[in-house]
This record gives sequence, C-alpha cells and structure tokens, in this order.
Amino acid sequence: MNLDLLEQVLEGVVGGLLALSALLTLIRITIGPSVLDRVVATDVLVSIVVCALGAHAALTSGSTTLPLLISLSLVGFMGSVAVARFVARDRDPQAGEEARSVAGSPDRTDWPRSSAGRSGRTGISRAVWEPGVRQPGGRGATAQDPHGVTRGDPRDPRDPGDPRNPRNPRDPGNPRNPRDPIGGTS
Amino acid sequence: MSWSVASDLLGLLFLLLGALLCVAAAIGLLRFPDLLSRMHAGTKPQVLGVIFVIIGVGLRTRSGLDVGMLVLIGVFQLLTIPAGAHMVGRAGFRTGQVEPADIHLGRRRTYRTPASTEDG
Repeated sequence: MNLDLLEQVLEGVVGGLLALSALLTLIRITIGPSVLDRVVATDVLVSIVVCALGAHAALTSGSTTLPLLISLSLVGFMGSVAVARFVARDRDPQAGEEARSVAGSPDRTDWPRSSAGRSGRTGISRAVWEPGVRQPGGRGATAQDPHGVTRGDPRDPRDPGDPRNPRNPRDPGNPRNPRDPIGGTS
Repeated sequence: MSWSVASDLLGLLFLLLGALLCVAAAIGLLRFPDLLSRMHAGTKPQVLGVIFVIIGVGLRTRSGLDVGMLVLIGVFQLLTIPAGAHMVGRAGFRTGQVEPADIHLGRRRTYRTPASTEDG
C-alpha cells in the first residue's frame, strides 16, 4: 500500500496551501487602505507562520521548533497592540474618511461639520492642528476671515465645537466623552 | 493498519484542515470590505487553525514533553489573540472605521442622536 506516496502528496498540499495563504496575506498587507487592516493581516501572517512551523515539526517529526512556537504565540500580539495604541493617538483621519465614505454611515458623514472652506480630499487638513501654518482657504476660513485666524487655538477648551479639539466632548474617540460606548482610558 | 500509521494519517488530516483554514482566512482578508469583517475572517486561523495544527503535531510526534509544549502554545494563543483583537477593534472605533450603527449596545439610541442633547 502506497501510504508513503499519500503522505508525500499531502505534505506538498499543506505546504502549498500555507504558501498561498501567506502570499494573499502579504497582498493585503501591501494594499491595505489603513494601518489597522495591515495590523490585522500581520496577525494573520504570524499565525500562518505558527501553522507552518508546526507543520514542519510534524512532517519532519523533530521537536526543535516547538519552543520557537511558544515564544511566537506569546509575543506575536505585542506588535498589533503597540500599533493599535499608536493609531489611537494619531487618529489617522484620512483612512477614517475613506472608511466612512465607503460605508456610507448615516451618523458620521457630516463629522467635520463646519462646511465653510471644506476642501481637499479629506476635508481635514493637518494645518488645523498647528496655529502657525494655517493655509488661506483651508478649513476654518470664512469670508470675513480668509485665514481662519480668529477661530483661536483649536485645543482651546472654550471651543468645544471644533471636531479636531482633543477636549471635544462630542468626539467619540475622546476618553472623557461620556457617550463613548467603549470607554476606558488611553 | 497499526495505530501509529492511523495516528500519522489523522495528524496529517488535521494539518490539512489547519492549512485550509489559513487559506480561507487569507481569501477573506482580501475579499471582505471593512475592518471588522477582516478581523472576523482573520481570527479563524489564529484560533482554530493553530489548534488543528497543534493537534496534528501531537498526533504525529506522540511524546509527552512535546504534547505539554503544544498545550502551552494553544493556551498562550488563546490568551493573547483576544487582547490584540480588542486593541485593534478599539483603535478602529476611535479612528472612525467602525460604523456606530454596527455597534449594538443599550445606549445606542443616545449615541445615535448626540445633537439632541449637546446644546442643553
């Protein structure tokens, strides 16, 4: 009975399937529209590597890769946790705008509410954060105030209506927001 | 057919199932439209695929020390994957990649109409 032939064929099939899934995951890491998609795909790639090392240990019946598997399953999530915290700090407005426009959310399509001078692809310019580099005609500019200077410091808590204000109580990402359904610090 | 040959074949079958789950997750990662769907697809090989593979390894090696290490791998995977997924999901919510209408909570109605209470 040719069990050896069957085993060889199945080994080849397992290796081919793992290689194919790693390739597709790499494509998603490359084209992922936001950082979080890439993070999710990286987690999947780590688990595919765990599966491949386990398959190698099973097919060669050697146990030298098992401590490597233990360490990989322990530290494999730390990269995604670190990047997720970094993204939560940085807010990545462009990817969020893309996701909202794709999803067509009825709640948050008007999220940058001041429509005066909403220009550009995202409507949110980095210059809003920094008072020194405001560009004329950017967001916050009105007919009386083409540079948007009198809007004041966007971090001023007295201007809670600015969606880019980190103290804005209406911002769902603000940890001080009582309406944040996820809540928590950080 | 002796028990060792049957165990080897069964282990190979489990390895094949794990590899199939990896392929399914990769296809789901490529095809699904948004972040939560991709996370849904991506958790399949992270939990069930790894468990299948370590069952396959255990069926093929059949030594006590290796089985203990495989159990440790499974436990660590089950402990760390939800932590990472929780952080990624929360970051996705805060960067606006999750529709608030997709979140079903008791406070959803008060969340959906923030304009009615903000000026009071």
